[in-house]
Amino acid sequence: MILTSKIIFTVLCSLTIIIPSIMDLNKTHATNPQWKPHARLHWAIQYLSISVIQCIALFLLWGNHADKNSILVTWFAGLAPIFFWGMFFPALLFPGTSTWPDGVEPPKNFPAIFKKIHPNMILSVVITLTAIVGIVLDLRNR
Amino acid sequence: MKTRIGKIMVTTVAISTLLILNVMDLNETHLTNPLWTGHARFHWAIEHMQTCILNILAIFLVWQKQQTKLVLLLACLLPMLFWGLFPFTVFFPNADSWPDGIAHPTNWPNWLNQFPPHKIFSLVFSITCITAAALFISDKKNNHQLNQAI
Repeated sequence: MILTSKIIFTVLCSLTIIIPSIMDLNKTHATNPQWKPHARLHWAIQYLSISVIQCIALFLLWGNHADKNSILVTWFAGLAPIFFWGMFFPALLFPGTSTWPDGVEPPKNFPAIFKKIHPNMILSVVITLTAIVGIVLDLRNR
Repeated sequence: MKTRIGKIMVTTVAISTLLILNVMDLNETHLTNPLWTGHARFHWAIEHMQTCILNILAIFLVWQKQQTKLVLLLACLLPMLFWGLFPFTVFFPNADSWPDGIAHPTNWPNWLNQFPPHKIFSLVFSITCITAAALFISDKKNNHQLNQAI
């Protein structure tokens, strides 16, 4: 595996653990009083599973195992962040979904453009495209 | 033989997961539950799609040609990224496994309140995946072939 792709995947997987942990483990998600208990359970499973997937990807990238640098590692580590960020736009096709945290008001002077296109959506496009670039770069150099 | 049984076990769990999620959740209990807020539904949609993709990936990994120990173990792990995480939701405040706003059916057995179907599925499917992983590891013939592949 080429080093560029390895670094790209490492950064993206790390961001996919760090960003939801900072942004979601608070009253916007984890303790949002508007969320019903079963919705919260599914969010908890989603948060945990996506974190575990990134940890597996990081192990595949840097751990000592027989498949190190194999094409399996490229695909899994490249797809790992996409399993979360790449689902943002398809999720909007489900009825009644919203990208803005429930009951949270945008800060004052929040740019109008970000009220229409939430920063999360921009982040999802950037991370998904970067992961695809990482996969393509590695596959082309094999 | 052990490997073949393990593959069938993982495939069964993955297909069951796909069926259960799409039959049980794509209705007013989840997809159109009027009690759910927009962003909660958004995260559920992400989780639903992600779980479906991971289980399809698990089926692909156990039956594709280039198999190594790691590929087979990864295939065992993927369905557990849904079922195996249920017990850990106890660490999240006010999370509950029963669908919001849905009443128990009449004649619902009392013991199912103590151990609801979700938890039974979670336990059975997790044990099945762990058993499949153990079968892959313990199959000496398989290990020899896998080591050659590596």
